[in-house]
Amino acid sequence: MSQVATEAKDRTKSSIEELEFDPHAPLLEVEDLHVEFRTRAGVVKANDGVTYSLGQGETLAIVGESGSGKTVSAQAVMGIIDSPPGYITKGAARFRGVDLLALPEDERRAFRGEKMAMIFQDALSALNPLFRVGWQIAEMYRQHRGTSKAEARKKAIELLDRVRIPAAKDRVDSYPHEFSGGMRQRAMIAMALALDPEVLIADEPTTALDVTVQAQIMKLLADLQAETGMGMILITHDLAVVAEVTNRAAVMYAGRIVEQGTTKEIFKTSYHPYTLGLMNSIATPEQKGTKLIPIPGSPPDLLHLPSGCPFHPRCVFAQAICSEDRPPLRDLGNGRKSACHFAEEVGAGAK
Amino acid sequence: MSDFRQAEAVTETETVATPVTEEVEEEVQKPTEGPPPGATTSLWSDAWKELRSSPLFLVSLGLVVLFIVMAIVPQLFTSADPRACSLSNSLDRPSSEHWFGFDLQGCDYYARTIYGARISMAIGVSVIAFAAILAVILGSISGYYGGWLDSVIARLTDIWFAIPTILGGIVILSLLGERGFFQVSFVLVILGWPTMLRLYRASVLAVKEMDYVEAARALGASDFRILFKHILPNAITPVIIYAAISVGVIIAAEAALSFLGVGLQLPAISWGLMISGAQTRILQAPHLLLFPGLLLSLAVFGFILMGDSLRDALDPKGR
Repeated sequence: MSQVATEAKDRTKSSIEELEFDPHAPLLEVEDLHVEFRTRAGVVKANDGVTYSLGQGETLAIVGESGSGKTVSAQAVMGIIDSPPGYITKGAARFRGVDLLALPEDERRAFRGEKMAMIFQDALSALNPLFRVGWQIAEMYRQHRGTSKAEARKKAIELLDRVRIPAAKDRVDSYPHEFSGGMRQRAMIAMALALDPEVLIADEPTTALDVTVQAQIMKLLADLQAETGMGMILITHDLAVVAEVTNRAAVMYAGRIVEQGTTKEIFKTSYHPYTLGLMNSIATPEQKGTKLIPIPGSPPDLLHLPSGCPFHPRCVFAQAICSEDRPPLRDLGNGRKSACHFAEEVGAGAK
Repeated sequence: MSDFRQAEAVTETETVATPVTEEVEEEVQKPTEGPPPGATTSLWSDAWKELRSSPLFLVSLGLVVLFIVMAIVPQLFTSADPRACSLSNSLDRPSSEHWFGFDLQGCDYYARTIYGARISMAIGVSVIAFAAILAVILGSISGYYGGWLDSVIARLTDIWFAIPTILGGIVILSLLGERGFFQVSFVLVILGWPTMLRLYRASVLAVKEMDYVEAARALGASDFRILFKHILPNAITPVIIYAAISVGVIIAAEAALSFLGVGLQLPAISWGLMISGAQTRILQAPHLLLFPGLLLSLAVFGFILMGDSLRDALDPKGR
C-alpha cells in the first residue's frame, strides 16, 4: 500500500514541477480574493476582495481582530477551506505566477508542505497525540520524498536540533503531550520546514504561549527565515510582534484590508482610523498612570455588515458619506494604501 | 435480542463524546510530574498499565484467552472425539470419567461442549471483524466527506435499525436452504453492521475537526492518509470497546438463532444446538442444558466484561 502511495506521490510531485513558474513574478500574490461561507443564517463574506503580495525573504503581517478574515485568507491560499460551507467565489492566488486557485486538487496538495507550509496557533492540538513527535516529522520525508526510515529519523533529529529543541536525540521519541508549549510549537515549525517550503504561513504562532516563550519562537522564526530566504506571512493580533519582526503589514477589518504599508510607516503614521485605534490601545511604559484609549463598540456581525464603510459605527472620524459609500483601498503613494474616505486627514491628525 | 441494541446505545453515549485527545490534555495539566524524556507514555501503554492492575480486566482476559485456546486447539482440553458416540451411553449422567455425561446419541458431552466453542468464537469474531471493517470504510466516507453520501448512509442505517435482529434473522435464514457458518455469519453481519458504523462515523466527525487533521492537510497529506493515519487511530477507540462487547452479544445471538432452529444445523457442534436439543429433556437430563449454557454464559460474560474494562481504561472521563 505504501508503494502505491509513493507512486501516486511521485506523479503529483512531477506534475507540479511541470508547471511554468515565473522566477521574476512575486513569490505569492493574492488578488481580489473573495471567500464566503454559506450558512443557514445567510452568506458570510469572510474575505471580500483581499489583495496582497509577498516577496522572497519578506515577512508580511496580517493584523486584525478575531473574525476579521485573517485566517480564512491564509486557508484559502493553502487550499484547506472546508467546502461546504466555504467557497472561494472570486480572485487569484499566484505562486510565482501560477494561479493556485485554478489548479486541480491533487496538484494543490502537492504544493502543500513542498512549496508552502502552515503552522497553527495551538501546537498541541496540531500534533497528532497518538504518534511520537519525531515520527511525525520523519513522516514528512517518508511521505513526500520516500526517504528510508532510518534516514528520515536522522533528518527529524537534525530538524529538532535546528529548531533548538534541547537534547533532540532523546526528545525525538517523545509524544506531543510530553513537550512544553514552546517545544510543541518548535516541533510544529520543524514539521512545516521539513521540505524547505518557499512560503510559510504562521497563523498566530505565539498566541497560546507565554511572553518569554513568544519572544523565543519569534526569534527562531526570524532566524530560520534569514537562513532559508523563505517568504513568511504572519497572522497575528499582537502589534508588538508585528513591530518586531515584519517588513510589511496589512490590517484587516470585516473581511477587507483597510490599510497596507511597510510596518515602520504604519507604526509612524496610520492612515486608517481602525489602525489608529489599534495603535492607541497598545500599552507602553510611558503611558503609566494614563488610561488606554480603546476602540468603541465591537466588531461587526459579518452577516449584517453596516452600510458603507463597515467601520463607520465605531469610527470617531465618521461623516455622513461613511455610512453611504464603501471606501475602496486607495493608493496613497509611498507604498501606502488605506480604505478610508479621509485617509489623508487621519494621517495628518495622527502626526 | 433487545439488549443487543441497548448495549450499543450505552456505549455510544458514553464513549463517542470523548475523543482520545482529552486523555492527553488531562496529562498536560501536570507536566512537571510527567515522565522524563526517554521514558515515554503513549495512550495505549498508559491504558495497558491501567488494565494490568484491573482485576476485572484480568478475569475477562483469562476467560477470553481460555475460549480462544479452546476454539483453536480443543484437543488440549479433551482427548475424546465429540463425534464418536455410542447409543449405549445415551443420556448418562456426569461421572468422574465423563464430567459432563453423555447426550441422547451417547456422545461425550464434555468433548462436545469444548468443541462447541470453536464455531461460537469463529462466528463471534468474524462477524465483528467484518462489521468493523465495513464500519470503518463506510463511516470514514460518511463522516469525513459528508454531503449526500452521508445522508444516504445515515438513512440506510436508520432503516436497518428498524429491523429486529432475531426476527430479521429468522426471516432471512428460513429463506436460505442450507444454514452453516457462512450463512449465519452473513445474516449477523448484515443485521449488525449499522451500530458500529454510526459509532465510528460520530467519532470521525469529532476527530476530523481536530487541528492536527487540518495541520496534516496543510502539510500536504492526502485524504486517504488523513483518514487512515490520522483519523483512524484517534477515532477507533469506541469501536474497539463496542466490538469487544459485541463479540459476546453475537455469540449469544448465534446460540439464540440455533436454538430457534434457524441457525446452524446438525451435525454442526454448537452451544445453541446443544441447548436446543436439551429443551425437551430438561427434567430428565438437566446436565444437557446446564453445561453448554454455562460455557455460553461465561464466554459472553468474558467479552462483555472485557469491553467494559477497556472502556474504563481508554475513556478518561470514566476514571
